[in-house]
Amino acid sequence: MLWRVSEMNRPATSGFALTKEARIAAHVRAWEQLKRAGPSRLHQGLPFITISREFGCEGRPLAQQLVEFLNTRSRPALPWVAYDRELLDQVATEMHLGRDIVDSMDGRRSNEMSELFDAILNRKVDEAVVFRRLAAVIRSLAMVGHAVIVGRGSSMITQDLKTGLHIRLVAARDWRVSKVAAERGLALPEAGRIVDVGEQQRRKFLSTFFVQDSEHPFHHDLVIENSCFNLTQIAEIVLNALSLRFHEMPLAA
Amino acid sequence: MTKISNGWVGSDMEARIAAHVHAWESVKSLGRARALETYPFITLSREFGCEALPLAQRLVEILNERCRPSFPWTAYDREMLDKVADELNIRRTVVDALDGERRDEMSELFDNIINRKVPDALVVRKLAEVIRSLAIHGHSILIGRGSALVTQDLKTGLRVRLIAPRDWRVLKIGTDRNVTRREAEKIVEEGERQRSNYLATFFVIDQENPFHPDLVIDNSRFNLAQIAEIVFTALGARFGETLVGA
Repeated sequence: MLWRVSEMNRPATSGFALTKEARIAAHVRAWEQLKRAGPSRLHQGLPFITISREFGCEGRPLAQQLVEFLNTRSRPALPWVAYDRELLDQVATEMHLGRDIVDSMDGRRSNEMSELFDAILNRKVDEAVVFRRLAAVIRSLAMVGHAVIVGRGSSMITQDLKTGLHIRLVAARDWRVSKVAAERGLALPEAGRIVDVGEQQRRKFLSTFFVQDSEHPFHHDLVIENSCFNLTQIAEIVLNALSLRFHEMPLAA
Repeated sequence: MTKISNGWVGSDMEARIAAHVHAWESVKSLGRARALETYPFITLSREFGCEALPLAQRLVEILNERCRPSFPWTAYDREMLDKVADELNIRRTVVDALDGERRDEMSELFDNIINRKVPDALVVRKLAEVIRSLAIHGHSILIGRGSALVTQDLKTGLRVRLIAPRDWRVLKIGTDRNVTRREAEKIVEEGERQRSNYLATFFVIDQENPFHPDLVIDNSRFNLAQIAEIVFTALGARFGETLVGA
């Protein structure tokens, strides 16, 4: 049968179970490795994954699980690294972490990026320049490949790249409230408020920094109902989709 | 495009009904020992122009070949569902197998989600009974007709939705039916409008708790074989090895 037995409980490699420092180190290590390999290793079409989610869904744990599975099963030359908001912000704001990545893009790719960003990013807000820099980092990481990027509009920023798999996790509000309550040891009403505020903030983030095209709404490749599957099952579905889309790429890279 | 033993869907209604009867003969031969709500089912909803029917066909092939079920997976499209609902003897075979408790649960759900104030409410309810009964028996792939909604509380279902950007669907219809882009646009628009109308007319949609399919797949981003594998993986992930030989 196709279905694999769970490989849970393995030590995390580059996921969020690690400290922030260790996660940055994982990123730096991967990047240094790539630089040592020379320019020919850059932009050779390695796949990447973006994960967006409704507040309370398991976007970060899913990214962690995917990175663990991918690094364990395929042992890629360039390890997969998971990037959440915290790590992305850090890479974008610390010059020594972010500059090399963005500068690695050639002129053509840089122009494509500018053209897309001019079309989808809102330039009329205060933080537009800061966000554009973050978007450039996200897109560069995606172009290098073997990145699992959570949130920050990463699916929209990378929508035209052929090597991406865009996932969205959704769940009924009641389920998300129960989950947040259980995880944070809160009463349901309080968890409900956190979910509503969190969701509102995410929507505000997207509507502030992005120009929405109602004529051509962005479609994720897969939208998965988080409450219907456990994390391992979701990871298996995503890995299967990744493998199908990019053939043996995730396993052979 | 029909093959009775595998329960394929196709264009020949008689052969498809024969496939259904064949599947039900297999069910009957299992006798009373066969439990209800044990065997999984799949519902497929889709935006107009997506490939739900070929997907159902592909899934039936895969599931019957790889899992060797004790009774075959069968796909039911709109035409087939309408036929089963209309033919009294077939409908009875399907619906009468439900016990009292399951009938009560069904009535309760339908009272909540089916709009009783429209002229054809009874016809839709009859169709919904058939859909739900087929789902309870299992190994059915149910396409459209609100099948995800009328089976939403059953634990043995995987609810899949196919979507795609409108431009892709227009192009697909244009190619499949060999019509101009403008004609294809009209067909997509009209098809989409009819589907929305069907759901909005016959179902009471809960805006507070909108129904989520388990898996939504962008049809434009994967080919049919890939989508079938993704659905198969999801089914396997959810129902595991119990699928094999079940």
